[in-house]
Amino acid sequence: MQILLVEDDQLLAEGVVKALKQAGFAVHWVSNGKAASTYVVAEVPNIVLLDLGLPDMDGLDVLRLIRHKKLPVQVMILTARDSLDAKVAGLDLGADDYLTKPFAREELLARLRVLERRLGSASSANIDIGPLHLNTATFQASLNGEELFLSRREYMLLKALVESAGVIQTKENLEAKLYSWGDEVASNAIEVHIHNLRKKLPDNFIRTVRGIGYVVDRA
Amino acid sequence: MTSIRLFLVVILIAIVTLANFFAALRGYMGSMDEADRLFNQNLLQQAELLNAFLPSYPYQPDSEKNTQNTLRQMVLTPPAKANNQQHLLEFQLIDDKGKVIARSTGIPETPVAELKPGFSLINFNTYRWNVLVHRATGQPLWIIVAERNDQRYRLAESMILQAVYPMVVAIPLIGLIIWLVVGLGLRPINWLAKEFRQREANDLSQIENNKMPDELQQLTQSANELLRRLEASFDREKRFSSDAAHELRTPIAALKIHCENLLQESVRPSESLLKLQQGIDRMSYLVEQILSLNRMSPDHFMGTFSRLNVTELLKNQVAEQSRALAERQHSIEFDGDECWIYGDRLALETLISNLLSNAIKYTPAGGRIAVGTWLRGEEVVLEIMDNGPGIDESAAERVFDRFYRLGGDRNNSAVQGCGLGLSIVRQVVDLHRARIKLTRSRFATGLLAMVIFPVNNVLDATTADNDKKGLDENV
Repeated sequence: MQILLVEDDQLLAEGVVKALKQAGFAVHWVSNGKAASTYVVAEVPNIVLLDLGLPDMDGLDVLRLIRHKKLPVQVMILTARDSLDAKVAGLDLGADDYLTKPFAREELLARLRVLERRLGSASSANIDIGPLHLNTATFQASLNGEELFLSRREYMLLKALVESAGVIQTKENLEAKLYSWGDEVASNAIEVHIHNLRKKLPDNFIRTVRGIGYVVDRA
Repeated sequence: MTSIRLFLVVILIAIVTLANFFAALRGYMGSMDEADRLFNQNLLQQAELLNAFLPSYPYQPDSEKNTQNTLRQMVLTPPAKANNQQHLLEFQLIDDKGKVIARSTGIPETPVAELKPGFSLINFNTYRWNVLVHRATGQPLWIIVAERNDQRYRLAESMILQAVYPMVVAIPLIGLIIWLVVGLGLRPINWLAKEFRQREANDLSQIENNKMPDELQQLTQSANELLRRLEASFDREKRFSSDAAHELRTPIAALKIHCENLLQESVRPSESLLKLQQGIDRMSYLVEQILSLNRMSPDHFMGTFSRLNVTELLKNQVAEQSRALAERQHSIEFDGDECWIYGDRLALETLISNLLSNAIKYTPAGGRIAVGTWLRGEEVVLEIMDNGPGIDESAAERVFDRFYRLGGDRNNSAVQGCGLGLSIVRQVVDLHRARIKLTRSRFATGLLAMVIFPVNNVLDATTADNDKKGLDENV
């Protein structure tokens, strides 16, 4: 997994590079927009970690270039500016994720793994939470080594919950995900699927947060 | 004088009154002169009339003895008509020797004036008289005609009163007209005042200058100049805040990641390293809170208001804080209606996140937190309630002060905080013209924070384009 880090602050960049290397990513670091623009075209990375406040140009211009050239790259914006407009502009221009500084190392790595999974990389395809094993490359789930038979929607819901284990998923959020997978969602569809999923999983594996949504606790 | 209008009205009325007074005085004096002239002319005519109709006086210049012996004095009573309305005219006929040979009834028997032709003022019979001494033509006689002086004044007074009376009646009317006209003239000032009054704290747009009268042009020009400078300095400050945020966050991010890398590398992290991490987290939190406080201050607030689903915002903030909730093993639940309000997303997220994180931090591990949004009549109520220790009523106001922490500066070193959360909350509440109430929770102990968004801030859920169904109770 090739990651291009575009960050002008050397101290931070060195820290990020080290963290990513520890986590097994291959990282290349550039400190300005011009170098980033040449690098992404010449040696297309899998993921670009992009700081918006670059000394020579706006980070969004690099993003524009990537999207204009239709490069097959996942872009995560890293920025110290917190204006909502910048965030919206970044996501509108086709950024895949957005992280505000300062961030926790774990948060950064977790989000990178989500992006990695979207790219279908085998190394990140496996998710293990307690007795549950999910292989996102083969769309298979197993409990204590025994294969679970899940419908497509059940699988997708489980994946959404497991992928961000420890984070409550609001019902609206899960509905939005089902919509984005192109399914019509009836008003109680989520409840029905969760009910069916629970029958196949250990007790309390999916915890209800009353009035809000569901969560799968970290192992 | 605090009111220009009152000042102008009083001064103008005073000037009008004074001008009227002087005009009346001048008129009075003019009328008197004119009356004098007319009456004197009249006197002369009377004298000549008397002269013309005077019976030929049997005059013997040498019979001095006769005349001395036989005192023959005619006393004539003028016809009543001539004397009506006290138009008193008296006369004497005097011969060359100074003897009164004929007179009217109301005049003394001796000559009232020196026998010198001309007009004069003489007192007799307790009145002041205008007297004409006239030399008769054709006879060696003097004719004295006298007329009471006061009637001249009466005439002049009645003339001047006729002129002044309408003026006196007109002064209140003039006052009213002046009041209205001055008001009309001062309208641009009122307009300008309104223009300033109605401005939002962050509205620094220029005042339209072209419809201003010349006198106010200078004022508006100076005001515009001031606004320009203010805007420039605000811009600089905003940029500074934004730059400061960037400049502070980047090194903190660097510190944080290096520290966490170090933690990752060490199999058994030293206590110092763990403390270092805590310190970095605390500093990071403090910087975020100060930036928030700054961003939400009315002078710097840059938000844009739009229709927002506050219920969804609340739930998303709960999801955002999942990790903290799990760490403290709190249970959390939502109950309520789906509510929409008009607000700024970032500001409301900050508000909810601060209230929620307070509930999470100050409630002992394994506590209960209940959140909700309710449509109450024309108001939307956002509730965040815990079963922690709560806030003493006496401290309920002070908790909104900056850097105030319950129970002193280091109330509980286990709880990370800096005393800015509720100050930020208060600012967001004010920005949305909402109210906040901190009361006893419906649990056995604890705090209930209610933010009440007012009528004009509430949007009917049915008008919202996002026509989601109500919340499912099954969740």
